[in-house]
Amino acid sequence: MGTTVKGVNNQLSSDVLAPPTERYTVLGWLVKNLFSSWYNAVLTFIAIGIVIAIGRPAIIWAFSQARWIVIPFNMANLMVGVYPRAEIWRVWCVVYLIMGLVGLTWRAQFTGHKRGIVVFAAIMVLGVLPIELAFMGMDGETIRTTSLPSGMAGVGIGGLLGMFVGQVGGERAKRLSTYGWLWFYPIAIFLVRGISSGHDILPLVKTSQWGGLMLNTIVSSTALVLGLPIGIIFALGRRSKLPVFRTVSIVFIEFVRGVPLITILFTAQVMIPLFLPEEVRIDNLIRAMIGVTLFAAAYIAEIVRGGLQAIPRGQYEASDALAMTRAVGLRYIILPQALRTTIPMMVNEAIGLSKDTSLLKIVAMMELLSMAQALTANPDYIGTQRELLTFVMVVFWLVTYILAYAGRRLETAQGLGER
Amino acid sequence: MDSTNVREVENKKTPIIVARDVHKWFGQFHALRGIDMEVYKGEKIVIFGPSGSGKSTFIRTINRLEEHQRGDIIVDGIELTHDVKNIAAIRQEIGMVFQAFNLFPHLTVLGNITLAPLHVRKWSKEQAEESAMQLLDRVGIPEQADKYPGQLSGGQQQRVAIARALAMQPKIMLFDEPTSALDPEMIKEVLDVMAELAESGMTMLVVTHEMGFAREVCDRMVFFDEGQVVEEGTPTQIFEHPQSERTKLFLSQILH
Repeated sequence: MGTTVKGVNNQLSSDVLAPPTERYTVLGWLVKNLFSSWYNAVLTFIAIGIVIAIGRPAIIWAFSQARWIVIPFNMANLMVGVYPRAEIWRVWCVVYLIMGLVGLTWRAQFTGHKRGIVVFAAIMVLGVLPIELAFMGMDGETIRTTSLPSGMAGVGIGGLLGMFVGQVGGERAKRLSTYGWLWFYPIAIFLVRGISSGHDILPLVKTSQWGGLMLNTIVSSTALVLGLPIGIIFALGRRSKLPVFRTVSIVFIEFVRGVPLITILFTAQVMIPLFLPEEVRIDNLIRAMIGVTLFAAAYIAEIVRGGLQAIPRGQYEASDALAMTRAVGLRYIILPQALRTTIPMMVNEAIGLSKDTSLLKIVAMMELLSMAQALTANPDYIGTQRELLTFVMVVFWLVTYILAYAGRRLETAQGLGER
Repeated sequence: MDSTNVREVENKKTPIIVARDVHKWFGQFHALRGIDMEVYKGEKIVIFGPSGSGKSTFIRTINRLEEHQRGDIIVDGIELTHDVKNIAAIRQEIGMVFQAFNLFPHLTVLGNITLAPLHVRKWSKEQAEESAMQLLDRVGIPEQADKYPGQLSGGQQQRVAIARALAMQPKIMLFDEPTSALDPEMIKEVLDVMAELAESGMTMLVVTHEMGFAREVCDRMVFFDEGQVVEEGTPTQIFEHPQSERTKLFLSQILH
């Protein structure tokens, strides 16, 4: 019966076509992106010329004139400051623990990324091994000072072990990875600090002897880990309808944000003893950590508040309609969503904080940058500022990159930016 | 299905919801101007009227999503005041379904439904999940239990929202324009669920423009305009013999 109108396709095509595939070759990419037209080609050549002109002196310096020996020779100083050399094995234990936890968390929480093992092995081989081999070439004295090769091996083993546990552990491993990080912190501090002066295995190491990259890491991680809950509390307080909480929160946030971190460090140094009785002497490092933690908490409070504002009102209404108390609603509905939204801003804060710890120099702590500067006073190494500063820059960049990478992985795991 | 139905009004003596001279202002705007309403257990009431007439505002005052400034609201014998305990007790008796669904996007369907029973009624995980699966069965989508709301269609999401509200075993269900955000194809599946719910004897207050549903299912229709109850009656009375001019005008507009 059907009369077919001309031009109308009445048949549904059953052929499902494959999407067109573009195949990339290196040459193809180069042609398409750099040399697609005559003026693009000219610009490419000019850009290459500029890069060479600027980079050439730096590269020549790096490969022929720079005295890189200063770095491996002083690696212990740069990493842990004036920490007693005989006790460095304890710091290595902490590093192994970290690697184990990282491996564990990677496999237990971020399932489905099979390439992880390959990536990790690649890092070990490409990154660590050459460094190890380079040190082997030096005299025995150097190696004993830094105890680096065995340390690196432990790092690799710790990481792989953690990954193995994460892979086979299932649900228990997942919980272990969460609580492991929580317990890790006091254990790490305990290991680094020691028990008492006379103790055989874990003698006390005073905080004035802590230094180097270890100090930066300890301070920034404490500030973030403790600053997060404090910041959340102040964020909720600022949004509270009760005037006392709101006022206290606003005053705290605006006051702490209103002064530079240096001022806060000085203030913590000077003011905290005023609030305490004569006999109680708070450790210098603890005073600084309190200052940095409160600083982080104020900024985190505003970040969390931004996340809270992004939650649609309907979510609050639905939780109210289900007769949930404010506390239950916050814990299960509002905060999970709000904190997910704030991940990029939190990573930002973490990165900023990790570098702000350089300011600890001001309160007489020998962290990484001040250590690098102090080393140039050594008569053997006069004039090595460039090498040391380059090293410090590379280390900070690495830390930043790792934090940013972790942030990106966290976002992907949470499925953000896809809906 | 109106006043001749036997299963209709079970306890004619004490209404389960009493609203007396309820007023509400939003700043200077007088949204509710003296609402008087009584709802009996097992009644299905459809509230309809033009936009801005205060219908949604009114049902939201019943479970304290909005606060009324004057008048009394009494739900199942509990008076709705500033007392937090009263509010919590009342909210446990009332389930609400929203126009925008308001599902929790970071939880699975099962998670959405079991959250309140687990943490408010303190049920065990097994109990909550069993009840949730039964409810999902009842609304017709048991296979979606482990999906996230973002993966479901609008009609499915709204049905999950209904199941979530029912999980707390409320005595009263409030519906705030439940189908207004849905495609025509999906409206039917949600209305079918609501009809089954009505059949089972639930007290329901529904704000909607679905006149077909009103005619089929409800016992009483209430016409709101400019913050006041203009007219109420059985569907037959409203559709065939509307008394007020405003009611006639509104009906003519939506029943073309």
